[in-house]
Amino acid sequence: MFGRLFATLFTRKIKKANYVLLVQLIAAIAITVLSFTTSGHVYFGRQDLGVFPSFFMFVLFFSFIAALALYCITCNENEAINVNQSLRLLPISDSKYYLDNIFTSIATLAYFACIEAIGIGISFLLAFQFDGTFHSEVMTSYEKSSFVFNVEDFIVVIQSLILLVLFCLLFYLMLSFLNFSSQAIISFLPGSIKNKSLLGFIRVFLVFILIWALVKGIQALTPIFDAPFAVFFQSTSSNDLLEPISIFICFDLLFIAINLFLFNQYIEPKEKK
Amino acid sequence: MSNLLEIENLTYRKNLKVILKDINLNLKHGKIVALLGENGAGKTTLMRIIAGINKNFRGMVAIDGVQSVADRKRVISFSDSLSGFKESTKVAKIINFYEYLYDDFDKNKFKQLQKFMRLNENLRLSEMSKGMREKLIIALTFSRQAELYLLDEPFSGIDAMARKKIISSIILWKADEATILISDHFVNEIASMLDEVVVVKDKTIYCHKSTEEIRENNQSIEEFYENIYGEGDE
Repeated sequence: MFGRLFATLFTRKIKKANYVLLVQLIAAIAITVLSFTTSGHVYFGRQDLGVFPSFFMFVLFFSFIAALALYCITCNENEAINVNQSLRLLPISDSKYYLDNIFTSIATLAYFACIEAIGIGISFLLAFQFDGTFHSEVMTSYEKSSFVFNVEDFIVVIQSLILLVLFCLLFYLMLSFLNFSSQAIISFLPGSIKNKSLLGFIRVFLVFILIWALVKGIQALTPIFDAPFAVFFQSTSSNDLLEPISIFICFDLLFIAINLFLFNQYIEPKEKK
Repeated sequence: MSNLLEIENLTYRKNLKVILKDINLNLKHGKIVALLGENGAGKTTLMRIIAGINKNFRGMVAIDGVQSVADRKRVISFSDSLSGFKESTKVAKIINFYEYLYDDFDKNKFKQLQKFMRLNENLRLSEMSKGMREKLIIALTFSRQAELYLLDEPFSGIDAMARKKIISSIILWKADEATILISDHFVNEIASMLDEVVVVKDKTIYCHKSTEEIRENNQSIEEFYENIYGEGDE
């Protein structure tokens, strides 16, 4: 069931990722065409760019906005799936359900990153192939850079990617934590509070208190997590990212444990008739 | 015969309010049981607890002696309101969802029920009337080979003629050993198919009787139910 639910949620989420990619592509094409039909030029610094380099630049620029948009969409989707009755009735434990939900979002981000990389690569190749100025600029920059591939740089790139994934995961988990804990606290408030605006205000207030408590907690816990790892990572420069990776893993695991407890105990699907 | 559903000392509170208190209920295999009670009595809450989607209750709920939520969900078919699907979702897509995610979903049985209910799988949820949607819910619920069917007010939007047809056929759609727990306000209409009646009143199980026992006292199910609520009003 874990695998089948994963596939179902992943399909649902990559559909949204595909919409974002489509909008990004249309936006990049539209702005390139508009720039050349209205002013006839696209400047990057003092450089007057051709059609394909401009398109490449806009694809690159919009990729950051698209990534941010998709991240917000998946955050919202995660929380909606957590209270989806049709899905919660599936024969799977709540813990596996929650993990399925969060991990499909990470998988969706990975899928999005791969498609983005391919898209950026294709637009770069188009510019490189069909724009002589861009081609020579790139070749000159490459020759000047004296780029040499070494294993240490490769490891740093891999570590950075792992750190990015762990950061994205932590943000998803923290968002769930704020949502779950405020919902759990509200379920202990008197049922006589029927005013939705008042409940909304109480929830926002609770979220602020929880954020404050979270910041204080993280500040207090970081040295505890930091200290044992610092011993191992002090000496070598290539291991710079291992320490933050370890700390992120600890926080991710901590929040997974807290969220699973809250999800199992308090989070009920929405009841609609 | 052993108990299919066992509930012991179940208490459920929400927002500092007791919704259900000290619920004790045992249901045997192969029965059709009505869960009756006025609006807000806690019938839906009780069904959602049995189905494993309402949390933070005290007490024990077990199906065939198994308490684990995932295992319980495996053998329970709950009449889901399909609120988890977008209004633009086509019926065909919902069928695929059930077929892919429920091992016990029988597509042939669904096809039979679809024909019986005259459901068009090319329709979107937004294009369906309340009655059509409820027919779809009933068809999906009974297309699973479950041990316990939980039907929460399944006929409220269905016209009288279709309702009668469905009620008279329900018994044919379940396996002999399977039990149905049904909550409905059309007490008179469902009375003919019932084996037992459970009444929820004052936040607890007020009474649990077999229909034979009720009829032996020369009472119809509806009269029996009305008398129970009449007692409180006097």
